[in-house]
Amino acid sequence: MELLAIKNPTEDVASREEVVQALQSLHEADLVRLKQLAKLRCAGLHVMGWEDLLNEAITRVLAGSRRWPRQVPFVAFMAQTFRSIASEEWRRLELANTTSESDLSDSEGTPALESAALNPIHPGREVLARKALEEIESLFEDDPSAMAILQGFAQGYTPDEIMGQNGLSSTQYATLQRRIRRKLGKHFS
Amino acid sequence: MPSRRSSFKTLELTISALEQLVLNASDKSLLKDTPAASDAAREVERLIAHRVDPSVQGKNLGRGVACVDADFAFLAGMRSSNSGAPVRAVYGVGKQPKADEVEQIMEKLLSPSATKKKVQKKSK
Repeated sequence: MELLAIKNPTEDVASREEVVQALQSLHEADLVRLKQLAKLRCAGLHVMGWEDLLNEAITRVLAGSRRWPRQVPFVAFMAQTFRSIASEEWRRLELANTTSESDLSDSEGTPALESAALNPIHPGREVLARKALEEIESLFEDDPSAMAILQGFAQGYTPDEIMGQNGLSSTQYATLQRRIRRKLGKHFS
Repeated sequence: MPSRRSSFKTLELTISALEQLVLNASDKSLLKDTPAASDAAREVERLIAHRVDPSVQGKNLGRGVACVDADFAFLAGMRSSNSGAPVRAVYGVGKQPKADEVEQIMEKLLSPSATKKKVQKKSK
């Protein structure tokens, strides 16, 4: 009876004990990775430090509000959790800025909160994001090749597109990626 | 014609790509390319140990989103407290923060990580 053999989705999710074990058995490189990933995700979010983000992620994972699918590597899962929490914070920033900047309705009488929800490009969020981008870009201002790759990332291009546009071989691309990561390691450690 | 992309979207794409670089780096090169990697690892290890077992002592361990949110909402409400409406919307109905409360919140928001960032910027 194959129909009865449908897997229970919860079977593929790690238990709290497994999460604790995974956290406690992280080796040095993964611990460093977690710090760098948390710092990256905090870029532009001045209300939250990397320790706050990591703390919150661990809290949610231990509490079971974020569940670890066993097939996903643990550090990659934590990176997804960081992203999710950071997204919530960006949304909260939008709402908080909207309500604190003005309680006036716009010229058409739309309440400020409603306007923020309708406007995909929120000015306050844009300013913070622009600053964070400038901070990241400033790391590579004396390295035009690395900057070209970074700009490719920013446009959402695939590695093949970035290599094609910049006339790079895969070896050159890999070398530049390593140079970018080394800079990140220095800046976000 | 290139479309106008928001800075937020651009930041999101950039961070996602940089995340992949960090995730896919070999352990050896990641450790080699990170100054004071051992210290960074110990710092994270302590934070995890404290969260898994709160009896583990540590300082500068971060506060979690709930505290940060409360602080931020508090300040956001304060910024236009004269009007009343935004305070209700952001901070909660009937709440008006007092000056000494604001001072405490400011202290919390400015430390430890926010202060660290400011010091780093000044020293550049």
